[in-house]
Amino acid sequence: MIGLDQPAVLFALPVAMVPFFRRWLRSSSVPRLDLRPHDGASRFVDRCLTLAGVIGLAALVLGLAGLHLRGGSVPHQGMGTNLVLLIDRSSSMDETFAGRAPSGDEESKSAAARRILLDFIAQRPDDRVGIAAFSTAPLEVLPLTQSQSAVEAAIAALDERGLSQTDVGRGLALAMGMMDDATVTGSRAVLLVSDGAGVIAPEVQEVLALLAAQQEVNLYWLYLRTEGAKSIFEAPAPGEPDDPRVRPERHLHLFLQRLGQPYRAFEADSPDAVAEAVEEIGKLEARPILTEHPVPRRDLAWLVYLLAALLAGFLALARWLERPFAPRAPLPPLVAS
Amino acid sequence: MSEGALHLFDLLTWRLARALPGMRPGGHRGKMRGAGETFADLAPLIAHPDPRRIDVRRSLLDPFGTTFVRRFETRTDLTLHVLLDASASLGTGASSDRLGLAALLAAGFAEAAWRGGDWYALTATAGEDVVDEILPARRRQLGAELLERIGALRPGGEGVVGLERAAMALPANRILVVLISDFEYSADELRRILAALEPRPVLPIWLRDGGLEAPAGRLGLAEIRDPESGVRRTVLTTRKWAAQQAQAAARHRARLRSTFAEHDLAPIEIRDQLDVGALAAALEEVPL
Repeated sequence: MIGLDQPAVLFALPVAMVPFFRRWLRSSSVPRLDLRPHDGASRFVDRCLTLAGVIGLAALVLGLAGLHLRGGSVPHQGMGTNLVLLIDRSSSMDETFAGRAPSGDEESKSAAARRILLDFIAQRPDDRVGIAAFSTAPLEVLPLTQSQSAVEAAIAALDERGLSQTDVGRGLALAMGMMDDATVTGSRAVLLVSDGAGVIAPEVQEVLALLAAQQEVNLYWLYLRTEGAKSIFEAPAPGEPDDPRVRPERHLHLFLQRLGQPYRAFEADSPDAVAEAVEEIGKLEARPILTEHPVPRRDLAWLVYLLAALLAGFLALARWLERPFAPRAPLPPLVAS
Repeated sequence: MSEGALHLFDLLTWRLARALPGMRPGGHRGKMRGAGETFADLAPLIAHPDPRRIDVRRSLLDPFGTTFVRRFETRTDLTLHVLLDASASLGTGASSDRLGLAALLAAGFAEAAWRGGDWYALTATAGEDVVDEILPARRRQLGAELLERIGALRPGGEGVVGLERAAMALPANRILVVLISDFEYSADELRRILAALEPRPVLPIWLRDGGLEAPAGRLGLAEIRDPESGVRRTVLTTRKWAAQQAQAAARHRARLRSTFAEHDLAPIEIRDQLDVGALAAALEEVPL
């Protein structure tokens, strides 16, 4: 708990005993103190002066020794989940839900997703959150962490312009792989935020199936549907081709359903719909989770220095108030006649 | 202090109520019968063969025909013994120089004793030790010498043991003890000293210090140290505290005075400064 930078300085601690042997004020001789009354206020001041000296010196020594509270972490039982946000960074995310480049007060899909995710994270202090992005290649942005500020910074950093492709399969593999040993105690979830999908190669599909079985991850897909795009839940009309190349989103949805893990897809075609979907996910993913709250190291030297300064001020005040018992001004022994 | 001031003490005289034994002629009532001015009693001529002082009237009236002689008190001298308590408290003082006062008094009594034809002796004790001593002497320059010697004394030591011992060692007769002290004693200690001095006539001279008895009541902190026991104490000085101190000091003085009175003594109190005229007047008054 309490730590010292330089414990060797504590050898100087006996110096704090000096006020017991040396008095702070200059004394004047007054005979027979035992025959003089001693009042309570004086006794109190007397003790205060000695104590102020002792505590002040001890505080100085402690300050020199570098007193601090050791940091660490405390286990914390909260409601939340181990959540990996897998965010699509393809260039289409920079368009609005209407499929145009944003103009005026219009919001792009990525900006809306960022804003809503930031709100979401802010409301869930107990989550451990990791962030991965994918476009042409998957990218681990932030490993699972408890630090809200790191998550917020990471989400805010996704502000850069997106790239062209959408390699969702490897992105999912990366996100599932990010679940480390620390996530064993809570539930695990991957939230895929994307506005499109790509074809997943058969070998990647195998890897994903294996990973999903190993990691037991709850999957959520927040599909940001551009106006005019077909719904993922919509079966193709008879006669239309049902092919991953033509309808990759629908086939990704089918593939994720086939993985055998709890899976839900949300389709959102406006920022409000995104917010609703995220809220729904938040409700689903509120399960007991054992996390650790970090306790930062706290420097106490300033506190003891302040204490020493206050006590030194008190002692200085005592010096300022110092008076002789009776000023020594002897009259000549003989009365002048 | 000039030696000239010692002449002021020439007019100090002391008269004892009791008659003293002893044959050496001096200025005090003696117990011996012989030539003198004060009539004492009658004695048969056979017992006191001094035919110059036959009391004719008493002899003629005596039915047995005895011849009577008038006898007179002889006058004899005594030793003025100054007992000075030079314990550490004598060195303290606010409005008075108590050591200087003690030196002046010791020297002044030496001067007066020489002038009055008495012997003079001195014992100064500090704590348990005797720090200065003058065996009974009758010297012209003793006063001037004492002024130097006592003035250069270093008060020290604690308690009254030495003083008590010195008091008990004093001769029981033909002595007047002048006890010069600040009387910073408890009533019990004073009682012990006075008991040790008991059969001897004692003249206590009390060196008081107005500053120590009634400190000023200005707000502040004073650190005080007992020079005898070494006890230290910090006090918060306020007007109320000062009043309390003065009151307690007055109470203590009253207690000491009543202790003196128990031994039929009345101390001469000298507060801060010595007025020789007043001292001479007080000497006339005090019971010895």
